[in-house]
Amino acid sequence: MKRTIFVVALSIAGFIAVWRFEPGPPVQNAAAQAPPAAMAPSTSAPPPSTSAGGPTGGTSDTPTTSAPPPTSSTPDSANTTVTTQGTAEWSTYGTVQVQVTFTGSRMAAITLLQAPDGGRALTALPKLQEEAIKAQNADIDTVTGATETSESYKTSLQAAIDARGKR
Amino acid sequence: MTTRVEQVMGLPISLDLRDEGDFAEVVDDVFAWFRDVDARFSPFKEDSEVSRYDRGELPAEELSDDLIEVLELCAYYEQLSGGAFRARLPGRGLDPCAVVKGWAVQRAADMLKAEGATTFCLNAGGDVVTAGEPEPGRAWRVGVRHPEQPLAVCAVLESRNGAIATSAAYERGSHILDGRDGTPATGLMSVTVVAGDLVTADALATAAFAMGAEGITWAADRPGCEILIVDDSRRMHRTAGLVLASGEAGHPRASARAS
Repeated sequence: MKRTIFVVALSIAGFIAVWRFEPGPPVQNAAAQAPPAAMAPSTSAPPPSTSAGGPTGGTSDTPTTSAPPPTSSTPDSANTTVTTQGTAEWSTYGTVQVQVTFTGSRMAAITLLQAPDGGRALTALPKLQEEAIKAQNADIDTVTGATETSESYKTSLQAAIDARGKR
Repeated sequence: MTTRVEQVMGLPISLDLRDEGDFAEVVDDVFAWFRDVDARFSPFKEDSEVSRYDRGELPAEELSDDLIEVLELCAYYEQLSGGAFRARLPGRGLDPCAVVKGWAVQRAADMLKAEGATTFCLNAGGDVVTAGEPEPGRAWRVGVRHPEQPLAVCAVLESRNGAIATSAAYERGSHILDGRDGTPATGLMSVTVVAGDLVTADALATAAFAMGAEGITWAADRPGCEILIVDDSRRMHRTAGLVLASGEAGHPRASARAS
Protein backbone atom coordinates (compact mmCIF):
# COMPACT_ATOMS: atom_id res chain seq x y z
CA MET A 1 0.00 0.00 0.00
CA LYS A 2 1.16 3.49 -0.72
CA ARG A 3 -0.66 4.93 2.21
CA THR A 4 2.40 5.21 4.27
CA ILE A 5 4.34 8.18 3.09
CA PHE A 6 7.13 8.13 5.54
CA VAL A 7 8.18 6.87 8.87
CA VAL A 8 10.36 8.71 11.29
CA ALA A 9 12.22 6.67 13.80
CA LEU A 10 14.08 8.54 16.43
CA SER A 11 16.31 7.65 19.28
CA ILE A 12 16.82 10.12 21.99
CA ALA A 13 19.34 8.91 24.41
CA GLY A 14 19.84 12.30 26.03
CA PHE A 15 16.20 12.32 26.95
CA ILE A 16 17.01 9.91 29.65
CA ALA A 17 18.81 12.25 31.95
CA VAL A 18 15.49 13.76 32.76
CA TRP A 19 14.32 10.72 34.56
CA ARG A 20 17.34 10.87 36.76
CA PHE A 21 17.09 7.49 38.27
CA GLU A 22 19.73 7.28 40.90
CA PRO A 23 21.28 3.89 41.17
CA GLY A 24 19.77 3.08 44.50
CA PRO A 25 17.59 0.51 46.09
CA PRO A 26 15.17 -0.37 43.33
CA VAL A 27 12.30 -1.03 45.68
CA GLN A 28 12.66 2.45 47.03
CA ASN A 29 12.66 3.86 43.53
CA ALA A 30 9.57 1.94 42.71
CA ALA A 31 7.80 3.27 45.73
CA ALA A 32 8.81 6.80 44.99
CA GLN A 33 8.22 6.93 41.27
CA ALA A 34 5.52 4.50 40.37
CA PRO A 35 1.89 5.16 41.04
CA PRO A 36 0.08 2.54 43.04
CA ALA A 37 -1.18 -0.31 40.96
CA ALA A 38 -4.74 0.76 41.64
CA MET A 39 -4.09 3.97 39.73
CA ALA A 40 -2.87 2.22 36.64
CA PRO A 41 -4.70 3.32 33.50
CA SER A 42 -7.43 1.04 32.36
CA THR A 43 -6.00 1.11 28.88
CA SER A 44 -2.61 -0.04 29.90
CA ALA A 45 -1.33 -3.43 29.10
CA PRO A 46 -1.68 -6.10 31.69
CA PRO A 47 1.45 -6.30 33.74
CA PRO A 48 3.98 -8.32 31.89
CA SER A 49 5.02 -11.47 33.55
CA THR A 50 8.40 -10.00 34.20
CA SER A 51 6.97 -7.29 36.33
CA ALA A 52 7.12 -9.22 39.54
CA GLY A 53 10.77 -9.73 39.08
CA GLY A 54 11.80 -6.22 39.89
CA PRO A 55 15.25 -5.12 38.91
CA THR A 56 17.08 -7.22 36.48
CA GLY A 57 20.14 -5.26 36.10
CA GLY A 58 20.71 -1.88 36.12
CA THR A 59 22.65 -0.18 33.45
CA SER A 60 22.06 -2.12 30.30
CA ASP A 61 20.93 -0.22 27.28
CA THR A 62 19.59 -3.36 25.77
CA PRO A 63 15.87 -3.21 25.29
CA THR A 64 14.20 -5.53 27.67
CA THR A 65 11.05 -6.02 25.69
CA SER A 66 10.59 -6.50 22.02
CA ALA A 67 8.83 -3.77 20.14
CA PRO A 68 5.12 -4.22 19.64
CA PRO A 69 3.94 -4.52 16.07
CA PRO A 70 3.08 -1.10 14.66
CA THR A 71 -0.57 -0.38 15.04
CA SER A 72 -0.60 1.60 11.82
CA SER A 73 -1.16 -1.54 9.84
CA THR A 74 -4.80 -1.50 10.82
CA PRO A 75 -6.37 1.53 9.16
CA ASP A 76 -9.82 2.80 10.05
CA SER A 77 -9.26 1.72 13.55
CA ALA A 78 -9.44 5.00 15.37
CA ASN A 79 -10.46 3.22 18.51
CA THR A 80 -7.77 0.65 18.39
CA THR A 81 -6.24 0.29 21.76
CA VAL A 82 -2.67 1.43 21.69
CA THR A 83 -0.81 -0.78 24.05
CA THR A 84 2.21 0.62 25.73
CA GLN A 85 4.48 -2.08 26.93
CA GLY A 86 4.19 -1.84 30.66
CA THR A 87 7.24 -3.14 32.37
CA ALA A 88 8.78 -3.04 35.75
CA GLU A 89 12.34 -3.36 34.66
CA TRP A 90 14.11 -0.70 36.63
CA SER A 91 17.29 0.36 34.99
CA THR A 92 19.44 3.39 35.35
CA TYR A 93 19.60 4.11 31.66
CA GLY A 94 17.44 3.25 28.74
CA THR A 95 16.57 4.38 25.24
CA VAL A 96 13.55 6.29 24.07
CA GLN A 97 12.46 5.40 20.59
CA VAL A 98 9.35 6.80 19.00
CA GLN A 99 7.97 5.81 15.64
CA VAL A 100 5.66 8.14 13.81
CA THR A 101 3.84 7.10 10.67
CA PHE A 102 2.22 9.63 8.43
CA THR A 103 -0.38 8.60 5.92
CA GLY A 104 -0.66 11.53 3.61
CA SER A 105 -1.27 14.47 5.87
CA ARG A 106 -2.53 12.22 8.56
CA MET A 107 -0.54 11.04 11.50
CA ALA A 108 -1.49 7.42 11.39
CA ALA A 109 0.45 6.15 14.32
CA ILE A 110 2.88 7.13 16.98
CA THR A 111 4.44 4.14 18.55
CA LEU A 112 6.70 4.26 21.52
CA LEU A 113 9.06 1.44 20.75
CA GLN A 114 11.31 1.86 23.74
CA ALA A 115 11.25 4.03 26.79
CA PRO A 116 13.09 4.24 30.05
CA ASP A 117 11.64 1.45 32.07
CA GLY A 118 9.24 2.62 34.69
CA GLY A 119 10.20 6.20 34.04
CA ARG A 120 7.92 9.17 33.83
CA ALA A 121 7.19 8.61 30.18
CA LEU A 122 5.24 5.45 30.69
CA THR A 123 3.68 5.77 34.08
CA ALA A 124 0.86 7.83 32.68
CA LEU A 125 -2.24 8.42 34.64
CA PRO A 126 -5.36 7.68 32.66
CA LYS A 127 -6.23 11.15 31.60
CA LEU A 128 -3.12 12.23 29.73
CA GLN A 129 -2.53 8.87 28.15
CA GLU A 130 -6.17 8.49 27.11
CA GLU A 131 -6.21 11.92 25.56
CA ALA A 132 -2.94 11.37 23.76
CA ILE A 133 -4.20 8.15 22.23
CA LYS A 134 -7.34 9.85 21.02
CA ALA A 135 -5.48 12.86 19.68
CA GLN A 136 -2.87 11.05 17.68
CA ASN A 137 -5.26 10.02 14.93
CA ALA A 138 -6.29 13.54 14.03
CA ASP A 139 -4.95 15.58 11.14
CA ILE A 140 -2.84 18.45 12.31
CA ASP A 141 -1.62 21.58 10.57
CA THR A 142 0.80 22.77 13.22
CA VAL A 143 2.01 22.10 16.75
CA THR A 144 1.94 24.28 19.84
CA GLY A 145 4.55 23.57 22.46
CA ALA A 146 7.84 25.23 23.01
CA THR A 147 10.44 24.40 20.40
CA GLU A 148 13.15 26.47 21.92
CA THR A 149 16.22 25.58 19.95
CA SER A 150 17.20 24.75 16.42
CA GLU A 151 18.37 21.38 17.69
CA SER A 152 15.05 20.46 19.25
CA TYR A 153 13.30 21.78 16.17
CA LYS A 154 15.13 19.34 13.92
CA THR A 155 13.57 16.39 15.63
CA SER A 156 10.18 17.97 16.21
CA LEU A 157 6.79 17.25 14.79
CA GLN A 158 6.65 20.82 13.49
CA ALA A 159 9.77 20.20 11.41
CA ALA A 160 8.10 17.17 9.86
CA ILE A 161 5.03 19.24 9.07
CA ASP A 162 7.13 22.03 7.56
CA ALA A 163 9.02 19.53 5.42
CA ARG A 164 5.75 18.10 4.21
CA GLY A 165 4.50 21.53 3.21
CA LYS A 166 7.56 22.16 1.07
CA ARG A 167 7.26 19.14 -1.13
CA MET B 1 0.51 29.66 -1.20
CA THR B 2 3.71 30.29 0.66
CA THR B 3 5.59 28.14 3.10
CA ARG B 4 8.61 29.61 4.78
CA VAL B 5 10.72 28.54 7.72
CA GLU B 6 13.54 30.56 9.24
CA GLN B 7 15.49 30.56 12.45
CA VAL B 8 15.10 34.02 13.96
CA MET B 9 15.20 35.25 17.57
CA GLY B 10 16.62 31.84 18.41
CA LEU B 11 13.36 30.29 17.30
CA PRO B 12 12.24 28.24 14.34
CA ILE B 13 9.52 30.37 12.75
CA SER B 14 7.18 28.70 10.27
CA LEU B 15 4.72 30.52 8.08
CA ASP B 16 2.06 28.59 6.17
CA LEU B 17 0.18 31.14 4.07
CA ARG B 18 -2.68 29.76 2.01
CA ASP B 19 -3.96 32.88 0.26
CA GLU B 20 -3.72 33.09 -3.51
CA GLY B 21 -1.68 35.97 -4.84
CA ASP B 22 1.70 37.52 -4.37
CA PHE B 23 2.58 38.04 -0.76
CA ALA B 24 6.34 37.83 -1.20
CA GLU B 25 6.93 41.39 -0.10
CA VAL B 26 4.99 41.27 3.15
CA VAL B 27 6.43 37.85 3.94
CA ASP B 28 9.91 39.35 3.54
CA ASP B 29 8.84 42.23 5.76
CA VAL B 30 7.58 39.83 8.42
CA PHE B 31 10.87 37.97 8.66
CA ALA B 32 12.80 41.24 8.54
CA TRP B 33 10.64 42.38 11.46
CA PHE B 34 11.64 39.33 13.47
CA ARG B 35 15.30 40.03 12.82
CA ASP B 36 14.76 43.62 13.84
CA VAL B 37 13.04 42.56 17.07
CA ASP B 38 15.91 40.22 17.82
CA ALA B 39 18.45 43.01 17.39
CA ARG B 40 16.50 45.49 19.48
CA PHE B 41 14.98 43.38 22.25
CA SER B 42 17.36 40.55 22.94
CA PRO B 43 18.83 40.78 26.45
CA PHE B 44 21.67 38.62 25.14
CA LYS B 45 22.91 41.27 22.74
CA GLU B 46 25.07 43.93 24.34
CA ASP B 47 23.94 46.71 22.06
CA SER B 48 20.25 45.91 21.96
CA GLU B 49 17.80 48.55 23.07
CA VAL B 50 16.80 46.36 25.99
CA SER B 51 20.39 45.92 27.16
CA ARG B 52 21.13 49.61 26.84
CA TYR B 53 17.96 50.49 28.71
CA ASP B 54 18.85 48.00 31.41
CA ARG B 55 22.29 49.56 31.84
CA GLY B 56 20.67 52.96 32.24
CA GLU B 57 22.09 54.26 28.98
CA LEU B 58 18.75 55.23 27.46
CA PRO B 59 17.07 58.33 28.82
CA ALA B 60 13.31 58.07 29.06
CA GLU B 61 12.76 60.34 26.08
CA GLU B 62 14.79 58.05 23.86
CA LEU B 63 12.78 54.92 24.53
CA SER B 64 11.03 53.68 21.42
CA ASP B 65 7.28 53.29 21.43
CA ASP B 66 7.80 49.56 20.98
CA LEU B 67 9.97 49.27 24.09
CA ILE B 68 7.51 51.33 26.10
CA GLU B 69 4.73 49.02 24.98
CA VAL B 70 6.74 45.93 25.92
CA LEU B 71 7.63 47.35 29.33
CA GLU B 72 4.00 48.21 29.98
CA LEU B 73 2.93 44.70 29.03
CA CYS B 74 5.55 43.24 31.38
CA ALA B 75 4.30 45.43 34.22
CA TYR B 76 0.70 44.51 33.49
CA TYR B 77 1.26 40.77 33.56
CA GLU B 78 3.52 41.00 36.59
CA GLN B 79 0.73 42.69 38.47
CA LEU B 80 -1.95 40.35 37.11
CA SER B 81 0.00 37.26 38.17
CA GLY B 82 0.90 38.51 41.62
CA GLY B 83 4.56 38.59 40.70
CA ALA B 84 4.83 35.02 39.41
CA PHE B 85 5.57 36.48 36.02
CA ARG B 86 8.49 38.86 36.27
CA ALA B 87 10.65 40.42 33.59
CA ARG B 88 13.34 41.39 36.05
CA LEU B 89 14.26 38.86 38.67
CA PRO B 90 16.33 39.95 41.67
CA GLY B 91 20.00 39.89 40.80
CA ARG B 92 19.35 39.44 37.11
CA GLY B 93 19.05 41.74 34.17
CA LEU B 94 15.88 42.74 32.41
CA ASP B 95 14.56 39.84 30.36
CA PRO B 96 11.31 40.70 28.61
CA CYS B 97 11.56 37.70 26.26
CA ALA B 98 8.39 36.08 27.56
CA VAL B 99 6.38 39.10 26.43
CA VAL B 100 8.45 40.06 23.39
CA LYS B 101 7.92 36.75 21.62
CA GLY B 102 4.12 36.81 21.70
CA TRP B 103 4.05 40.52 21.00
CA ALA B 104 6.39 40.28 17.99
CA VAL B 105 4.57 37.33 16.44
CA GLN B 106 1.17 38.95 16.91
CA ARG B 107 2.53 42.10 15.27
CA ALA B 108 3.73 40.00 12.35
CA ALA B 109 0.30 38.42 12.00
CA ASP B 110 -1.23 41.89 11.98
CA MET B 111 1.22 42.91 9.23
CA LEU B 112 0.06 40.00 7.11
CA LYS B 113 -3.59 40.87 7.65
CA ALA B 114 -2.96 44.52 6.83
CA GLU B 115 -1.66 43.43 3.42
CA GLY B 116 -4.77 41.37 2.77
CA ALA B 117 -3.75 37.94 3.93
CA THR B 118 -6.75 36.11 5.35
CA THR B 119 -5.63 32.50 5.66
CA PHE B 120 -2.42 31.61 7.40
CA CYS B 121 -0.78 29.83 10.28
CA LEU B 122 2.27 31.44 11.84
CA ASN B 123 4.20 29.32 14.33
CA ALA B 124 7.15 30.75 16.26
CA GLY B 125 8.80 28.19 18.46
CA GLY B 126 5.48 26.59 19.29
CA ASP B 127 3.47 29.77 19.71
CA VAL B 128 0.80 29.95 17.05
CA VAL B 129 -1.37 32.58 15.39
CA THR B 130 -3.98 31.39 12.91
CA ALA B 131 -6.27 33.22 10.52
CA GLY B 132 -9.15 31.96 8.43
CA GLU B 133 -9.65 28.37 7.34
CA PRO B 134 -7.11 26.24 5.46
CA GLU B 135 -10.02 24.58 3.65
CA PRO B 136 -13.60 25.83 3.40
CA GLY B 137 -15.46 24.85 6.54
CA ARG B 138 -12.41 23.51 8.32
CA ALA B 139 -10.49 25.18 11.12
CA TRP B 140 -6.74 24.99 11.54
CA ARG B 141 -5.90 21.97 13.61
CA VAL B 142 -3.27 22.67 16.21
CA GLY B 143 -1.69 19.71 17.94
CA VAL B 144 -0.59 20.26 21.53
CA ARG B 145 2.78 18.66 22.09
CA HIS B 146 2.69 15.77 24.51
CA PRO B 147 4.71 16.96 27.51
CA GLU B 148 6.70 13.73 27.68
CA GLN B 149 6.92 12.54 24.09
CA PRO B 150 8.45 14.93 21.55
CA LEU B 151 6.72 13.43 18.55
CA ALA B 152 3.32 12.88 20.06
CA VAL B 153 0.44 15.24 20.70
CA CYS B 154 -1.86 15.07 23.70
CA ALA B 155 -4.73 17.05 22.18
CA VAL B 156 -5.75 18.66 18.93
CA LEU B 157 -7.35 22.09 19.09
CA GLU B 158 -9.30 23.93 16.43
CA SER B 159 -8.51 27.53 15.67
CA ARG B 160 -9.71 30.00 13.06
CA ASN B 161 -8.85 33.57 13.98
CA GLY B 162 -6.95 33.21 17.20
CA ALA B 163 -3.76 32.42 19.02
CA ILE B 164 -2.42 29.49 21.00
CA ALA B 165 0.67 29.41 23.21
CA THR B 166 2.20 26.69 25.34
CA SER B 167 4.66 26.90 28.20
CA ALA B 168 6.10 23.62 29.30
CA ALA B 169 8.95 21.73 30.89
CA TYR B 170 10.16 19.25 28.35
CA GLU B 171 13.20 17.04 28.32
CA ARG B 172 15.57 19.78 29.33
CA GLY B 173 13.40 20.90 32.17
CA SER B 174 11.82 24.26 32.58
CA HIS B 175 13.71 27.49 32.34
CA ILE B 176 10.72 29.40 33.63
CA LEU B 177 11.24 30.80 37.10
CA ASP B 178 8.59 31.67 39.61
CA GLY B 179 9.08 35.40 39.97
CA ARG B 180 7.83 35.34 43.54
CA ASP B 181 10.88 33.52 44.85
CA GLY B 182 13.16 33.11 41.84
CA THR B 183 13.08 29.33 41.95
CA PRO B 184 12.23 27.10 38.97
CA ALA B 185 8.51 26.73 38.51
CA THR B 186 7.08 23.41 39.62
CA GLY B 187 3.71 21.70 39.67
CA LEU B 188 2.76 21.76 36.00
CA MET B 189 4.10 19.97 32.96
CA SER B 190 2.42 21.95 30.25
CA VAL B 191 0.17 25.00 30.02
CA THR B 192 -1.64 25.81 26.78
CA VAL B 193 -3.70 28.98 26.48
CA VAL B 194 -6.04 29.86 23.62
CA ALA B 195 -6.85 33.55 23.27
CA GLY B 196 -7.80 36.13 20.70
CA ASP B 197 -4.23 37.34 20.38
CA LEU B 198 -0.81 35.89 21.04
CA VAL B 199 0.30 38.57 23.49
CA THR B 200 -2.40 37.40 25.86
CA ALA B 201 -2.01 33.68 25.16
CA ASP B 202 1.77 33.70 25.56
CA ALA B 203 1.90 35.86 28.68
CA LEU B 204 -0.88 33.93 30.43
CA ALA B 205 0.71 30.58 29.59
CA THR B 206 4.06 31.71 30.96
CA ALA B 207 2.52 33.24 34.07
CA ALA B 208 0.32 30.22 34.83
CA PHE B 209 3.27 27.89 34.38
CA ALA B 210 5.34 30.04 36.73
CA MET B 211 2.57 29.95 39.35
CA GLY B 212 2.47 26.16 39.43
CA ALA B 213 -0.65 24.30 40.57
CA GLU B 214 -2.50 27.46 41.50
CA GLY B 215 -2.01 28.64 37.93
CA ILE B 216 -4.71 26.20 36.79
CA THR B 217 -7.62 28.06 38.32
CA TRP B 218 -5.91 31.39 37.84
CA ALA B 219 -5.63 30.87 34.08
CA ALA B 220 -9.12 29.42 33.85
CA ASP B 221 -10.46 32.58 35.47
CA ARG B 222 -8.99 34.88 32.82
CA PRO B 223 -11.77 36.16 30.60
CA GLY B 224 -11.61 35.42 26.89
CA CYS B 225 -9.24 32.47 27.27
CA GLU B 226 -9.43 28.71 27.15
CA ILE B 227 -6.85 26.50 28.76
CA LEU B 228 -5.45 23.01 28.59
CA ILE B 229 -3.06 22.16 31.40
CA VAL B 230 -1.24 18.95 32.22
CA ASP B 231 -0.20 18.88 35.85
CA ASP B 232 2.68 16.98 37.39
CA SER B 233 0.36 14.07 38.10
CA ARG B 234 -0.46 13.89 34.39
CA ARG B 235 -4.00 14.97 34.90
CA MET B 236 -5.39 17.20 32.20
CA HIS B 237 -7.37 20.26 33.07
CA ARG B 238 -9.28 22.10 30.44
CA THR B 239 -11.93 24.75 30.23
CA ALA B 240 -15.33 23.84 28.84
CA GLY B 241 -15.02 26.22 25.93
CA LEU B 242 -11.88 24.66 24.54
CA VAL B 243 -12.56 23.59 20.96
CA LEU B 244 -11.12 20.18 20.30
CA ALA B 245 -10.77 18.83 16.78
CA SER B 246 -13.66 16.73 15.58
CA GLY B 247 -11.65 13.57 16.01
CA GLU B 248 -12.54 13.82 19.63
CA ALA B 249 -16.22 14.55 19.18
CA GLY B 250 -18.45 12.71 21.55
CA HIS B 251 -15.97 12.79 24.32
CA PRO B 252 -17.44 14.31 27.45
CA ARG B 253 -15.77 17.60 28.02
CA ALA B 254 -14.46 18.18 31.45
CA SER B 255 -14.94 21.49 33.12
CA ALA B 256 -11.98 23.60 34.01
CA ARG B 257 -11.50 22.29 37.46
CA ALA B 258 -12.68 18.76 36.93
CA SER B 259 -10.49 15.74 36.73
